[in-house]
Amino acid sequence: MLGIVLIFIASLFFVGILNLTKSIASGRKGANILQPIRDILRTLKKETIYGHTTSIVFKIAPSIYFTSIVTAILVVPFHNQQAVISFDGDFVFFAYILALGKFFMIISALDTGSPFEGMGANREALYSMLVEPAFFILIGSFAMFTGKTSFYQIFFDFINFNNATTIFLILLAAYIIIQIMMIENSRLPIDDPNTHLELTMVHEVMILDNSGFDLGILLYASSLKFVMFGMLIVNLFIESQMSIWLQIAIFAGIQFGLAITVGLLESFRARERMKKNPNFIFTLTVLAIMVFFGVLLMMNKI
Amino acid sequence: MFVIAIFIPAVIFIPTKFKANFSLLIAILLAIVSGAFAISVFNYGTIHYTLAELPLLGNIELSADSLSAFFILLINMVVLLASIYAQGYMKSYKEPIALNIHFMAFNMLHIAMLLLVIIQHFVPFMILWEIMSLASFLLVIFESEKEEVLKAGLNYLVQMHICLIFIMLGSFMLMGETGEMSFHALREYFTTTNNWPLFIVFFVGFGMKAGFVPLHTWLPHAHPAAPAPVSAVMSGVMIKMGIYGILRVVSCLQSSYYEIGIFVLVISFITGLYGIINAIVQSDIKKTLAFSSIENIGIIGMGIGLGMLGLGVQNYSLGFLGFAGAILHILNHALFKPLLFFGAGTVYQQTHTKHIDSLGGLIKYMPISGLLFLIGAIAICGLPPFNGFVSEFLIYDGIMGEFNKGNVSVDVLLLLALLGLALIGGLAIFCFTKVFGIVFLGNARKELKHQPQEADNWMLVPQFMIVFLMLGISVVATYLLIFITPIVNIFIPFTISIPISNILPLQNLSLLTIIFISLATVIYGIRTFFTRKNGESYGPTWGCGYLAADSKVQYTASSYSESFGKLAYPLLRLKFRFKKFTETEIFPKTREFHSSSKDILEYTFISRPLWQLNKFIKRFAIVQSGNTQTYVLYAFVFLVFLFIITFIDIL
Repeated sequence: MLGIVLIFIASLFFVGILNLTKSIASGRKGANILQPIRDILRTLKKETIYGHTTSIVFKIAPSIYFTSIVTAILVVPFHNQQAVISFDGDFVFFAYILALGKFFMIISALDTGSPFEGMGANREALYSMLVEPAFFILIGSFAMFTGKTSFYQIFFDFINFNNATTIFLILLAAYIIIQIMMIENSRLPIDDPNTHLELTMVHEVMILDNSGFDLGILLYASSLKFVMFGMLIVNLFIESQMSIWLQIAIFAGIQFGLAITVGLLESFRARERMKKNPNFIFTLTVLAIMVFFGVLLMMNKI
Repeated sequence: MFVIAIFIPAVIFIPTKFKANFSLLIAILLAIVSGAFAISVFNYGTIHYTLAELPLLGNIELSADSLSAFFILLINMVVLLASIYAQGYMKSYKEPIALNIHFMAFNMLHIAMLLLVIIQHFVPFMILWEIMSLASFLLVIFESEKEEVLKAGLNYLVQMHICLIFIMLGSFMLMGETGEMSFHALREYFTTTNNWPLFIVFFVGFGMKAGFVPLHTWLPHAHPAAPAPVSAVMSGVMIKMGIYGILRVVSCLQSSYYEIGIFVLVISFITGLYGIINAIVQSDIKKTLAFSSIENIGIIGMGIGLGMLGLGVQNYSLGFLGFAGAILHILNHALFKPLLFFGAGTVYQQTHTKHIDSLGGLIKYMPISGLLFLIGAIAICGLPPFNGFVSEFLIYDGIMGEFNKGNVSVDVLLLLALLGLALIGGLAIFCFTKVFGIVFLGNARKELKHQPQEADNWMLVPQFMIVFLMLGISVVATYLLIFITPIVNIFIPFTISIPISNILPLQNLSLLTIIFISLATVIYGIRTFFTRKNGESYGPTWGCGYLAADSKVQYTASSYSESFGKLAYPLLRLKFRFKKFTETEIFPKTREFHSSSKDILEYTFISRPLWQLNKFIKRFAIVQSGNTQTYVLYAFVFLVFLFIITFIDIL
């Protein structure tokens, strides 16, 4: 229960910190870290405008997308604090419910009949399809090592800082999850949220026609998604003997660090060419397979 | 049942208007009789019955265990749903002779499938198998005035006979060894002899019906050619008869589980991926669905393969979950695939085209059919909250739970299966967002002659029933698992009850399903409140400053699949044919653009060899002059030849 509360609190600040970092890095003063939340609250109060071509799908999609993320958060644990609902194989549910949200966003973009949104939908479908295997192989390898299949138990049993190989694998895993987070949130190097040309957008172009309440929850869903993946990374760095306050401190530290890292990356890095994106995502699968071999080594199977 | 069968030809005497109703009536009667029988099997255990002293055949053993009963219920369900749908769909066809043949064949197919699953003796089994194939052939060529339909039908007919030859070969091999031709004998045969050769023979035979790659080539031709209710039955249950055959043979196996399990797993892995990869680039909506059937057969096969692998390494939990996942996926696929075929049928009936790129914006004219198709699309991608997720979850659960117990080779195989399932899931989302998004959403891409209308109630009711069943499955998944336990125990040498650790996740899944649906409703409720308060209005779609945008600039199915087609070029050979713009061309005129993909396996293994064979044989055509005197000359030459060899005493 504590985990979900922490996620919701952190989601209020995450994008604010990210934007502040970017502002400072580009020499501006930057807005208050609560500004993104204020923006969201303001959009909630605005009128909703639909395209003429849209249908019911366009209206329900944002709500379902948001729900899918909240439901996914329900199975994410916070180390020894179990998730709200935890069971064997819950990470399969985690991946699939997120996919359901994406499914709806893709068809809602196609619903507008706009060529740009079709393009974005197509890219989103392609990239999220390619990233799926990396996630499954990564968590699957951990499951193989621990013999457990729920998020909570996998992390609980796997994390052990006394073993050099484990530390190496944890770092590799953290890297993979950060990249998955970037892809799922359509950030650099796959996609640049600051681009102003529709032809080069992925996620931003899909929500071009959303407005009012729908846009508000879509924006908030994006912050939640960041923090949710951040929570997975946090779980990689907590050992069982740590006190609860230290755990919360690690949580805050890592979320803060992630926001700053993403901000810095976006300030100093350019987006990959669209053509190169699939290759980049395949690399993650290769890294995940490395984790698999590492685990096999640790179990003395090879 | 035989009494009802006698009445099937009576459809000839029924006025055209009521032929469909009559066929439905027969289907209902058959379903009641066989359904009651199946339920009694579930209640009282296996039923044996012997038809003694038949001419030529001797004693024929009939026996129904829970696997047969499961299939009987499955067949009845799909056939009844398709029959109800046909009431509406077949209304527009008026040709009485074609309809007579169609409905007779439909009922015959139903009976043949029902009997197939209880017969133990191979000779009547093959006769029924042949009746099933012929009846479905007649159903496929319903619109036989179209050339491609006839072609697809003949292709189907030929391939089904190759499939029969393999089953025959298998049973003759069995006959040669044991002197008997029944599944009993097969079990005895397997105890004494190597299990491999005969399994492969049967796998090829049954696998062809099921559509395992590379034996799948009939499927993408036959499914689009047939009328929608027939496609639904063929894809929903008829290809599952191949799976039934494989499952029967697997239940007879006595050894080599491990190796055969690997074989089935690898073939299924390829089948699943190949099916969905090809499904993405198709431009015919029913062809897409046909390829997606191949993908689902792959998932079912992966379940079976994992189950056998589990038996092979004596890991009965993996065995249980593998087979349970496979059986549940058979049921699930028999629900969402007919739903999608019904939807595609409605689209075809209203727009007279199956070409995805010519469609668009249909949800505005047929909102209910559109949403039903959407639900089918979500379910077939294996996404929660619908049933497809439950069976895939069981297979995932099997893979994960047993990961750390085996040796490296098992681990690598399990990783392969994991990778396959995850990739298939992602690709399915790509495929079905394309189909649903392009066909039902956006603007119409081509002007239609008639404005499409919502389907009539006969066609909508079965679809609602399916959606209801699908939601039911994901909510009461636990009970379903208990229900299929006796079926799974057929494959496992000793009776095991469901491990309690496998019920718990399913209960949580059901809980999460309910939470998800209620949460979504609440959020949508809040949204309605906000939009009411703040107002809502309609405006033009964002066009990036370009005001002359019309429906032609929309994304099409070809453009949607192009990005993927390029990635998977070695498998798809996606080709584009178009004229490039020249520099002097300031005002371009009408241009053409063609894109095509190739079923690479069909091309390499069937089309090209046949073409080469044809070319070779054509060289001998020179002797076929068509003149009688030449043929007389041949006879004379032969006589002279005969004279010479007898004269010099060679023979």
